[in-house]
Amino acid sequence: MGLKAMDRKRYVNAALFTFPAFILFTVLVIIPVFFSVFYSLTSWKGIGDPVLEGLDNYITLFKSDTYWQIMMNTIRMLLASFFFQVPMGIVLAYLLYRKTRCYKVFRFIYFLPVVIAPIAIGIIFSILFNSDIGPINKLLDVIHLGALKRNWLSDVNVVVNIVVLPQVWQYVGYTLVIVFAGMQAIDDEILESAEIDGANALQMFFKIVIPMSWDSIVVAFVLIISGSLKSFDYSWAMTKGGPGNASAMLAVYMYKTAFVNNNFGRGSAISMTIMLFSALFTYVFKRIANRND
Amino acid sequence: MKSKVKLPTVFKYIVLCFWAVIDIYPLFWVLMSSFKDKISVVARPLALPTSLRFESYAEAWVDGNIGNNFFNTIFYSVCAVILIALLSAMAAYALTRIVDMKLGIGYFTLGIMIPVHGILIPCFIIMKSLGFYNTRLGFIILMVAANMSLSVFVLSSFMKSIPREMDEAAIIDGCSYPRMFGNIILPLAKPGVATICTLAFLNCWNEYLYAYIMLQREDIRVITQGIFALQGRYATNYSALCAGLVISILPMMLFFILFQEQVIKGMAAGAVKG
Repeated sequence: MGLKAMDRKRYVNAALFTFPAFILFTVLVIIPVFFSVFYSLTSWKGIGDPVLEGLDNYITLFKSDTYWQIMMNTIRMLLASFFFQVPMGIVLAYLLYRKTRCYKVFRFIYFLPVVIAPIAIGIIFSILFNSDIGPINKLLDVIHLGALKRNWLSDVNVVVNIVVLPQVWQYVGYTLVIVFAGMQAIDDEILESAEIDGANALQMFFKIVIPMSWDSIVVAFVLIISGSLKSFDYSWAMTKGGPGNASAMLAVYMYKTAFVNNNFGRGSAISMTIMLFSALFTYVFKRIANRND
Repeated sequence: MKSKVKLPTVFKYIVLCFWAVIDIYPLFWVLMSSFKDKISVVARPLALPTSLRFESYAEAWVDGNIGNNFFNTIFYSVCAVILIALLSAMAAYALTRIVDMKLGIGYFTLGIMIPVHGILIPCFIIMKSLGFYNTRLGFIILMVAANMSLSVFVLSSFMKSIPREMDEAAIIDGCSYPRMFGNIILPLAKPGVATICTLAFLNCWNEYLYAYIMLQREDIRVITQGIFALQGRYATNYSALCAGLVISILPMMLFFILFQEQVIKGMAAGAVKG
């Protein structure tokens, strides 16, 4: 066999081996992105041919109070995760990182929620916070804090705060595992010498451990940005976005617009904004995070 | 780490246990409620069940159709995982070992940056026009496509680290590319394959939105749809709903107990996906 024939055989084999994955990926991931862009510029309702209408969908969305209200709900979810999930994950990671008994037991418990379906967790939280039969209100009665009882899932003023809880609850363990991996990469000698120099646990935490595992912390933050922007299951399982749109997230709004109201054009525009804001927030966050580095 | 614990140790364990209780209690509550009858769930939500009562499970499994959903989900997940492992390993093998094509891997990696919700509508329309809407195969194919990007990414970085001399020796011995893949590279890439299988299995089992738009017929629905339907159907029967939840959660818990290291490694690898 000549070199040329061998080369040809190589390329033919390479092409054949890549082909099935390539086709599936191209048809169901790459091409849909272009379709999304296209549909978002039409007012297609699922019947007939889509007609291009320029940026109408985007203009309507950006002018509507509903869109921004739902955007604020989504941002609230993002901020709740930023300020509770990440700090809690970091603190727990550090506590586990410092020689701890039953490390494996704790890690197992903390990570357990991560493997459960978000929709199941949404349903669990909707039972827990149910104002008639839920154990939360019952518990408040038992500990004589009955005054704090609310109609958690139907009170417009509190519902969005409840809908963001399951995400925080579920992913503290995920943050923990990511950050823990970052902490493990720190050279023990650095910590030991700091300890000899008389640094206490808090100083070591803020001066050494946090800066040296900063990259993994940034990863945890970035995951929250995209996770919050595409969050669907909790809001859907707990309230279907209601009452009204009080607890809707962008993905729920997208779903309702496209699949309930059959407005595929507008729905696609919403999903484009999910992608674009996700990229934008990630970019801005990374810029800020790296400047502080 | 050998350093002596300087944090007030008691405080540290209080914090650790506090969060452990927060994590466990909702799951524990669901489990306990699944053993109660529907009246005592509502009347005494904080009490422990007086006896182990399994009727709610039968109710959810048969009347609630959770049994059917359960086996559907197993079937889809197993099929999808096998296809994902095979197809992504083939692609990763071709692009790292047969030819060295960074552009090809880069193309697959693009998908990591695309959130599924951004392409949900076109995927639905494409699948519908290809006749895959409301079919078992359609859902499996969507799951395979959705997990492809990350799998190729993980496997190609894994296969790159296998020494080149292996291939050259095999080629000189007249080994064909498919045999080299099956007999040499795939066995060596086993840890990488295990990682992506774990991740894909979790993703398939827990998927809701794709299933919700793709699977309308009752007999082909998955378990996440099943428990969501229970919530609507049993608006007053919380013990059956809790039993359904336990049935849907338990397999993943067992899976996690059996493959703890693997699952955590897989999820950490999944962290690159934005």
